[in-house]
This record gives sequence, structure tokens and C-alpha cells, in this order.
Amino acid sequence: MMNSYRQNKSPNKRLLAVTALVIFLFLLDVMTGGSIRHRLRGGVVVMAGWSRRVGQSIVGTGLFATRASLEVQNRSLAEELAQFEERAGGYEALRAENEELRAFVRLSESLSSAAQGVTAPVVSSARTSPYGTFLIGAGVEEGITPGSLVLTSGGFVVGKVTDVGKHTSVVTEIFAPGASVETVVGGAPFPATGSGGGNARVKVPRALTVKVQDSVVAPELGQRPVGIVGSIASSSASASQEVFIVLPVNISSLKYVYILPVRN
Amino acid sequence: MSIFSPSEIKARILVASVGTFGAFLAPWWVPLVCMGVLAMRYPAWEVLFIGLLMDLLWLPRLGFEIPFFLIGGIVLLWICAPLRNQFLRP
Repeated sequence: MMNSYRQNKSPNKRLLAVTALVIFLFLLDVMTGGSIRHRLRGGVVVMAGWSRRVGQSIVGTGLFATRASLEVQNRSLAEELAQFEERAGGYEALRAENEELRAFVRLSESLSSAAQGVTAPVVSSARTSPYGTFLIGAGVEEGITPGSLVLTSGGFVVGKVTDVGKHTSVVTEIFAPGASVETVVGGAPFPATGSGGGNARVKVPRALTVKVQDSVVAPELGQRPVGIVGSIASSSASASQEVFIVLPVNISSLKYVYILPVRN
Repeated sequence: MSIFSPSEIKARILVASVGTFGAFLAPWWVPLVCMGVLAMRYPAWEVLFIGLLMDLLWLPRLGFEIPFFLIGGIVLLWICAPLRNQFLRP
């Protein structure tokens, strides 16, 4: 009886101790201003780099090519082809990156000299976070401050910097799930409710003329665009219509963003 | 089969590893599923660490937001404790 009692209680005691430890670590991190989380986020940057390299090398080996096509290929020709493909893939990746960075140069030139910012790489996927956040590879050392606006190469605001580490920062999406932002749709201001992934919805009166592809701006973000009207759902029985706002680019495919510092 | 048999321990390590790496790279529901599986099958302290890791990595402003994954991990682990005691052999 005693033995059985001990067997049942021991794991619970261990779990209780670990629960207390985890709560202690969380509080310690909050009290020390993020000493643990900033180290962990550095790990995300390293792991993202590894996974990118592993992905590229797997694609480079042709592991996922069909067996039939592999049988047809002569071994020497296949090796040669793989080399060319690798070069072409590398060229294509560099071309896309160059194109994106060029767009940021154009964006930077179009902004006034008082509003010059920093281009930063996106180091995590927006799908990884349950809180509508993502990580960028720039922090205090690169001049990033909390509250800075995060723009796409097209000048759309995607988020705000909410937490800054030494070389990483957390960006919270403007349209994070449940977030509310004052937007101007069809010339009138309405609060938009975010649903994540650069999407939001807003209820407007049916009498208001709104067209698909209309630009949506946010007065609180310096009248900058935050999206476009993606679709409109209206019913003759309702006095209002629902407008769905979307970001013209897929937020998960962003490789670089432009950080506009806050001027106090 | 005992939850301390070698195959069960291997399965636990595998699920915990997927959950831990998933917190860094995979969609958020991958660690959540791993936490659920671990909490239901084992008295797994890993659930708490995966929850803590998720909140440290992705919470927008620590201290001002509710750490849902950490709280969820604690709730999940302790809610499942009576079920595990009832049905699993140590």
C-alpha cells in the first residue's frame, strides 16, 4: 500500500517542482527585461539559417524528382545538369532578392529624409507564431526601437515593432488575430478587426460606395496604406456590408521588410 | 505496456523533440498537438517547457500579454493527471 502510494505521488511531486520552475523562469525573464527570450530568439535566427540551407541542399540533390525521370537521365549528364540547375537556382534566388532590395531602395528614396529607416530580413514564418507576430533580424544595434512601423516593399504597413533585442526584434502584425485598428474605407473611418495573415474585416453602412481593390489607410499610422479591399459581402436584408481587407502580398512570403523608426 | 518501457520512452523523446523544434520552425499548432499528446500519455514535464518556449519566443510584449501556451501547458498537464493515474501503468 505504502509502495503504491509512493509510486503515484512521486511523479506529481516532480511535476509540481517543474511547474514552479517554469513559472519562476517566466517571471525571471519578465523581471530581467528578457534575458532568456532574447537568447532564444537568437536561436531562431540560427535555426532558420540551418533549415534554409538544408532545404536548398535537399532540392539540389533532386531527392524529390520522379524515379522515371531519374532512370532516363545518364549519370554524367545528370551531374552536369544538377550543377547547372544549382547555378540557375542560385541565380534565380539572387535575382529575386535583388529585385526585392531594389524595391526597398525605391521605397527609401520616396520617403522624406526625416523618415529614413532600415531594411531588415524576416527570420521567422508568420505561421509559426500563435500571437500574430514574426521575428526580424535587426535590433537595438541596428537602431530599431519599439513602436517602429514595419513596411513592405510596396509601402504597406504590416506591423509594429513591439519587442527589441540586440540583433532581433518581434513585430506584431497590424491585423493580428483580434487586433483592432482604425481604418479609412471608402472615405470614412471604421474600426477594422484583424484575423491574422494580413487580413481584416470591417463593417460599413450599405449606402457607402466601396469597390474591390480600393486602398485602405490607417490614420493612426500616418495615413499609410494597410491593405486593399479584397472582397465585399452585402445582403439586401442587412443595413451594413462586410468589407474584407487584404494585404496585396502574402505575409508568409516576405523576405525583407523596411523599418521606419519612431520620431519622438 | 508500461509508460517507462524503452519504446514508450523513445516515443516520448520523439514527440518532445518535434514539439521543441516545432516551436522554432513549424506552424504553431505542431507544438500544441505535441503538448496535447505528451500530456495525455505521460506525466511529461516537457509540456511545460514547450509552452514556456512558445511564449518566450512569440509573445509580443512579455509581461503585458497573457502567456496562453504556458497557462495552457500547466492546465493540460494537471487536468490530464487524474486520467493518467487512472489508466496508465507506471
